[in-house]
Amino acid sequence: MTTSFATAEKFWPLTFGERGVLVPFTTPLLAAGRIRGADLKTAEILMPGLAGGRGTYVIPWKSVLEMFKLTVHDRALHEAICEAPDFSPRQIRLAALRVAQLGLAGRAASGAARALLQREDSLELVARFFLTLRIVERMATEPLTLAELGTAPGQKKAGRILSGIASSLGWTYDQLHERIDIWSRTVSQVGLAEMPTEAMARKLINRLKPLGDQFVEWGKGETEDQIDGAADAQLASDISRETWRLATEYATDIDVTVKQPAESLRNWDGTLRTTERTVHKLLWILDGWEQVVKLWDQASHRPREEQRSMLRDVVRHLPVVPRDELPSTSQDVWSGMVNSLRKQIRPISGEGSLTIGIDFDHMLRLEKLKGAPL
Amino acid sequence: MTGAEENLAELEGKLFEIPEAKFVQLVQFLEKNLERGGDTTPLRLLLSKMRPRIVQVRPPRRNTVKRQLCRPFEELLYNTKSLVPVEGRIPRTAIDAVYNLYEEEGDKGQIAAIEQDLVVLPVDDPRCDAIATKIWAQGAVNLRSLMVRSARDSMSKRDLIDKLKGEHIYKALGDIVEILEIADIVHSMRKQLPPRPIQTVSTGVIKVIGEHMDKATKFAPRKAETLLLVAMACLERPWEIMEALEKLALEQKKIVDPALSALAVRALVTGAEQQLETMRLDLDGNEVKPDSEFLARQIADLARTMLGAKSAVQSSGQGKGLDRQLERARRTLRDMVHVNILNGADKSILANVMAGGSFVTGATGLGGWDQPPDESKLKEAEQRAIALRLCARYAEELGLGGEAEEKLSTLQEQLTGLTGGMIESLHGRYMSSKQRGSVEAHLFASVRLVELLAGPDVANDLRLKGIASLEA
Repeated sequence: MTTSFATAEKFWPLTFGERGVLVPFTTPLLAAGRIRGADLKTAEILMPGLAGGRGTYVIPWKSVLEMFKLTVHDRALHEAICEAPDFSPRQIRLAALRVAQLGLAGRAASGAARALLQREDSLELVARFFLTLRIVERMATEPLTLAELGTAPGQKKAGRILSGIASSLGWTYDQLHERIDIWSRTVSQVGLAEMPTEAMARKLINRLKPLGDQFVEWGKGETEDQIDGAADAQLASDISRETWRLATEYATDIDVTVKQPAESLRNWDGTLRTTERTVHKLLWILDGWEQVVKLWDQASHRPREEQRSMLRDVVRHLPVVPRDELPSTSQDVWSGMVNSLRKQIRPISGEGSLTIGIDFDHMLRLEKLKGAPL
Repeated sequence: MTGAEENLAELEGKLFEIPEAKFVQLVQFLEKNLERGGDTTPLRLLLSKMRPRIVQVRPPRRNTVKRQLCRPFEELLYNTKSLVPVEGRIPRTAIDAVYNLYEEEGDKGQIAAIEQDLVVLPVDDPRCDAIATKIWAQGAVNLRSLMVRSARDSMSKRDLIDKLKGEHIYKALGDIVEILEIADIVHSMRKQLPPRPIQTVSTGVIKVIGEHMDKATKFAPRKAETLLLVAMACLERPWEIMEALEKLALEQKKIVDPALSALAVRALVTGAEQQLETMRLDLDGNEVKPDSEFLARQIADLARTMLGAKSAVQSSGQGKGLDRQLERARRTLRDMVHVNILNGADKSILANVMAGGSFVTGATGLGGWDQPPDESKLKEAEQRAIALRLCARYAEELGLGGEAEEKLSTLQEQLTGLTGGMIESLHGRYMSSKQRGSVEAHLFASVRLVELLAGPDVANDLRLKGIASLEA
């Protein structure tokens, strides 16, 4: 392990693993940092626009504490990530919520994290109810309602109906029950289109297209001598819309399997494999967008010049979809956008050198993002 | 405090949390109801609370003759409860009074016809400009003639002042007429300038201001002063107008017109005084006090304005009178910081963080840490700590020397000491999971406050000690 900086060789990563996962730090210098690596020994953090340069710096994860003065929240988050089973978007998100819940990023962030963690817990249950109802609706003649599922006689009835469905599939009741459990657990990470409780991934997808439109509208207000602002807005809009398009496709794939439960269950191994892969991809595609959406929401009530500067920050945060993770038909479009992004990322300004004190106002703004609704 | 007052205070605090689309709908709904007549006071009060966000969001407003009449001077408008006139500013309370005069002096049928034409157009539609030019010209001629008539004898003047309900509105009427007389020039300048508030006084901005001041001077020599006041109101840091004036004079190989620089510094000083007075009246008059962080940010903004005004006064070489005015304002602001932020901050923060129990006693020996902390009190303690940190930044300029720093350091020591004591008492102690949850919540709340007061290093030491003690 080295403690020196290195610049990323390729600006456009090939895989999600190479791109890394956004770590929602509250130390301003590290705010757009992404972690990547197979394990703690090889883990690195990628920092765009650091040290007055346009490149992306790569720093060993373990050196972060020595090289930067971090907020207490970030020191706790660093510890929590070191203990995480892997560096996937889900695990980083859970670590971040658990740390924010402690109150180290302020009361609003703590309250929001508590609510989101509770929601995560309930989503699996909601997904299980929803899937069960959908299976019964499509594969049995006897109806079952959500209200019934909440009662003991209703559950008994559900058991009887599901036993019948299991027999029709050539399975035991326990086998079907276990598969519904696994299916619910898998899809609950991104939610389903018609589920009564909206998962974070669905909320994000629903925000992406309007966000792209907002950037376009904002860009229209730029004058001829503000070409940088207009270009940033255009790029942010293009990436938001393309990400929305891609995420929508994956989300629809997941929804389709649920709409045809008989077919999905008959082809169980294939369904599970495809669903897991799609959920995994969707979570990686959406990683980092929560921060982008909230940053722009925060900018919405600031004067235009501040919005322009916050847009530069948005550009620094824009998550790109890696080349090999894209369908070949989208690679040309993304190649153009990534090329523009490489030119448009500007160095972090106003934060001084790497190890000096933390910008207090900027830290408070980043903490507010954690408490802000999506 | 009534329920309505509580709701208004709550709205003020959450103004920027309302989604933009909803906010726009709300403004349109309120404005539509204003047109219905009857007692509109509550609606107007509500809209005044929403104004800071309206200024930023700029939702499509109802297009009326009144709104068009006010366009040339909208940057000069301000909310105040004070009756003292401010140089270069127009109290919002003058709008209705002056508009009533405009209607009385004008042709009612023609005004109604114009209103009909406007209502179908957005406020900033280019077609409005031609209509607005007529409104401004009529307003300038009719209102000027009224002022000339009223100035002929003291009785007429008194009648007009009574009608307008105060000398300050009468003064505002004069200022409005001055602006309406060059409204086309003002409007052209506003159109060419970047969106307000202008953050950077660039060469382009200076050029636009300079060209329009020349046009105004050609109309009448004193009109450049009127235009200067409008230009200053468009700037985020109005004191930067002094530098702009110097650059303009240098370009024209002249010296800065002393009348202009005198007016600019007078406007800066009285503007700072007005900001201070408004804040004071708000603090004294409202039953619901703003949270400490919000107040500290307002004070920081005012301290910055005063500093800007001071440097402008010094660079202009204007008389000592303005210096004394500024010094008085600075002392008032210092007292305000004392009363509202520094005094009792230590007791308030400690009391709030300890809410739920005392640090030193308690039947379980956990000094109340086994009871969950009070969320709202913790929030208050955090806001106070943030206010203290913000206050320390401008303490020097306000003559508070190291007082804020000292307060921060004493408080941090007290909090660290008390928390450290509790951590010691946790060592090796059996706790139920509920008790442990409460203890952790208290520990992290203290750590957070220490970080806000003294930075992350001391706070993190405390966190690590606490965790070690809990795990022992």
